[in-house]
Amino acid sequence: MSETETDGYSREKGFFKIPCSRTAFMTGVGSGLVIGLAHFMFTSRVKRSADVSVLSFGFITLGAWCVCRYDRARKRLQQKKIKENLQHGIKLEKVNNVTVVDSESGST
Amino acid sequence: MATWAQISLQDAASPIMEELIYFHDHTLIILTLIITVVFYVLASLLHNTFTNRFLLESQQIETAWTLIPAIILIFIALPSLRLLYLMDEINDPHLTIKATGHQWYWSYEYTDYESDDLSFDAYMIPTSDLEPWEPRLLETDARIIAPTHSPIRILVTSDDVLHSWTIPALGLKMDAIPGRLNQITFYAPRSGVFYGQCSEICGANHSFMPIVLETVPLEEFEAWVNSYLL
Repeated sequence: MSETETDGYSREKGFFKIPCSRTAFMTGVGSGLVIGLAHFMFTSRVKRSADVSVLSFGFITLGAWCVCRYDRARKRLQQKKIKENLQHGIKLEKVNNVTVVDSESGST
Repeated sequence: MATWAQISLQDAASPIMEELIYFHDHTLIILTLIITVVFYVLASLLHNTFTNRFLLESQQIETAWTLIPAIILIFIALPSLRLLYLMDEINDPHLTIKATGHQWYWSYEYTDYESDDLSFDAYMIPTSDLEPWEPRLLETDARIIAPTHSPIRILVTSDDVLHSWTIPALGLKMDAIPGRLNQITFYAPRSGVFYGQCSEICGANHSFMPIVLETVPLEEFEAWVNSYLL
């Protein structure tokens, strides 16, 4: 995660301070330029290439945004589980003969 | 709390508010993309000199501009519904506080404790009586005290006209309707002081009946309760 981007608990204000926004837009802009340029190279149609460039920017930005946010959410969940396990481990430190029951599944 | 000229959401002080901020960011990105594409289409229309006097219909474009907005709406609706149901989950609250709106102050009751003594009114501190560090139009003479790391239920109602009990940092807003009890729950993972203001027009002093919630560790909350009951 970028140092300038923080999650909802405390963050600086600004559009590109939103986590994943910079990544998504840079990916979209870069991909849009490349695809538009490639289209022009093959077809020599300026306006149609510009249309293709803008539309691909839109779709690729949306896709990159969703992928980045999904990865971020998955990592956040992993961090939360690690933190919970660490706290649980601290509570049980030096305790012997303990049966741990998973509160969600009920399994031991 | 909000700083001057702030138009953005306040920093999250609860998991639900954090989720609301994520959803807001997600929707903002989608809206930005839509506006970018629409402005591009508008600009290219203005530069277009072609005219087709016999253009009547086109199935392809109709299909495209029906399917694409539908897909975009699905991208917005799925996280929205997930969050909506997450906010409505029953989470076995440890404490219930009743908030009653009046013209123009809030009153709070902690009825989990059998004593009637744990109830108080919260009036806004007038500007002339403020201490130098107290925020204008936000500070009250009594704060709601709640424990951290505990699900809390707030029952909101009104004694006269419509009010609305709000704390933006916790993502809380619930209308206070006379004759009705509305329930809202929250979980505060850290200590802090959180401000809110009445959010339903209720008369002359609608802007002058704020809400202040202070979350403290459980031991301090119990000490506060004991100081009221003893």
